[in-house]
Amino acid sequence: MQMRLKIAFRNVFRNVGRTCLSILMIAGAVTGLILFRGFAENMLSLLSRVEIEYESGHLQAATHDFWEQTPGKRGKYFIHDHARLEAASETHPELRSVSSRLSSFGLLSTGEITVSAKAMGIDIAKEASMFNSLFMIEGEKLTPESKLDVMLGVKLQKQLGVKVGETVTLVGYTLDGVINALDLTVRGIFLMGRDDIDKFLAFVPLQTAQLLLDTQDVESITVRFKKDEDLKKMRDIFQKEFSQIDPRIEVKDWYQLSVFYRSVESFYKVQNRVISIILISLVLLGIINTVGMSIYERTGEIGTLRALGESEASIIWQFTLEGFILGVIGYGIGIILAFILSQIINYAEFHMVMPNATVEVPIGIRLGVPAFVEAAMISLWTSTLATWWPSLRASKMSIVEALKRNI
Amino acid sequence: MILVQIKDLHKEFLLGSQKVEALRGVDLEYADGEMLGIRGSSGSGKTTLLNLIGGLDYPTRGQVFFDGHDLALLNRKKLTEFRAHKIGFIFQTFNLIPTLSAFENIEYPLMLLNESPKTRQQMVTLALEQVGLSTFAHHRPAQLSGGQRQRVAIARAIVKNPRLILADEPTANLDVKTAGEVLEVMVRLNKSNRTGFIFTSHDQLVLQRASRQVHLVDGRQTKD
Repeated sequence: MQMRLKIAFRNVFRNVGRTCLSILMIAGAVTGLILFRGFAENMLSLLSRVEIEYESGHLQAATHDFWEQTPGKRGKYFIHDHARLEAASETHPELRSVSSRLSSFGLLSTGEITVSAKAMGIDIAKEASMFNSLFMIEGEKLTPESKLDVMLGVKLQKQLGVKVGETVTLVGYTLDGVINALDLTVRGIFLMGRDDIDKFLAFVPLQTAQLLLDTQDVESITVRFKKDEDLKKMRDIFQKEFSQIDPRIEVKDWYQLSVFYRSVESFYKVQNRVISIILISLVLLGIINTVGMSIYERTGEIGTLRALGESEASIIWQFTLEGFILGVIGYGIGIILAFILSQIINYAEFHMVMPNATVEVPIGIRLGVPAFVEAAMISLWTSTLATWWPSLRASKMSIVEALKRNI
Repeated sequence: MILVQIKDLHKEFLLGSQKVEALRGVDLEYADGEMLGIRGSSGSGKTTLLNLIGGLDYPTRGQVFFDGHDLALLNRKKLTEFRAHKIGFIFQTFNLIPTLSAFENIEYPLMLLNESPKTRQQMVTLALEQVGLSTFAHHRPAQLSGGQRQRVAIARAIVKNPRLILADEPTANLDVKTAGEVLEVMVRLNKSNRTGFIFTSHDQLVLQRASRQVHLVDGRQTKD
């Protein structure tokens, strides 16, 4: 084995130019795969932060019928014991925040212009971290003291044509089906960066939402942990504890709730696969071509080795080993290039607008072990496979014909 | 003792659509340890005959018995093992592996026999001594003269102590003086080790060193 490895190394560097070309092809593919995957990982990471911080939290608890949107009187599916649920949550040191939410679909009107909107009632004090990091275009954020106040998404504000300090009327139905209306003062305009949110969402204090719906209940409990990693173990604990207080409660994590995140993730997966296939095909064809040339040049040598008693399998093994070495070197150079380029890209702080987004987000590369493992598998398999086929043909050559090529 | 017995050996090739008869019924016996020279002009079938004796190809008709075994009955795998164990080859163009040193070229057949590194070291050193190239062990073929390369090829053929060495025009690419030196090595090995040689040539000076000669004309054996 040691001698075969030595021979393989020497053969790999027999034609330096051609070997460099093959290595560059593999390295390019490895770099491309790692960078693309790192880019996708970074985008998904940013998106998951948006989902956790501004949308669903790590976990949301609501009744089963609420999640299933079972037809019937809406208030029947609300949570009555939300104070007990919140108190139970606060006993866990992993917890960062727990708060209740109540939303209402209704109309926002200036008197002249009326648009449909979703008024999200949140506990301002308990969702302080989310509120603190919210990007404000104009005005100020709601405070725990706010009552008949509202914060509008930037596109919703543009549709209504209102300014900070002006009044809008929120019209909706109470749980008993009676039309209710509240005059709210516009305190601020926020930007979430997602088109569907910015033109539809308005934040109001939880009590205001309860006032509109004429209830003391809430529809869901939002839970955030100090660390993302805590979600896995805490999910089951919270489900168990919440069920003991209210058996109707069902806990869902942010991933289950975010249809948008999952659609972006599956888009990147498909894109990743397509890019992988293209790169694999290029590497495969490139190496088959260069190894084919190498085998053509070494036909006489193959004849000599076969005459000396080298078996067909050993000829295949020898060339495949050379292909594997090419793959290892190409992979090594590829990961170094990927690392350097990722640092440059991260440092350069390029920006782009994501699909369904309204603001630019930084383009970053998030290097992770799975990308390196995937690139290793692909580069090593591809280079080995690309060598295997031409070497199989070489091993089947007539020895006499091969020997004639020794001139 | 008869080592190789050839009976009514025929070999046909297709050259494009043209059928070429390289051997047209050769009968031959070779005794163990002989120094047999095969004489003939270009295209007479000398190389084809060596190829069939060495198990590099299958005959169209007829038989080659090596040590009593019909080579035509051996499958490709068995034929590979036969070459690895029983036959040494010396080629007109030396056919050394350019990426390996003289030592490694000679060592290669021993690697195929799964000899231990220590045994390989001993056997290669001995083979290098026998061809007088001990000081060139770590030279690559490109750093050796034609005569030295052919001596490395001889060492590579003898290193595994095969029953028979087949040498196809071993001196054709060498000048007269170097050819003489290479032949001298072969004759010496034949006498000292009883290494058997069958070699081809069209040079009468070379063939004089054979203990017996066979003459091929148009694929047939002729009597002088």
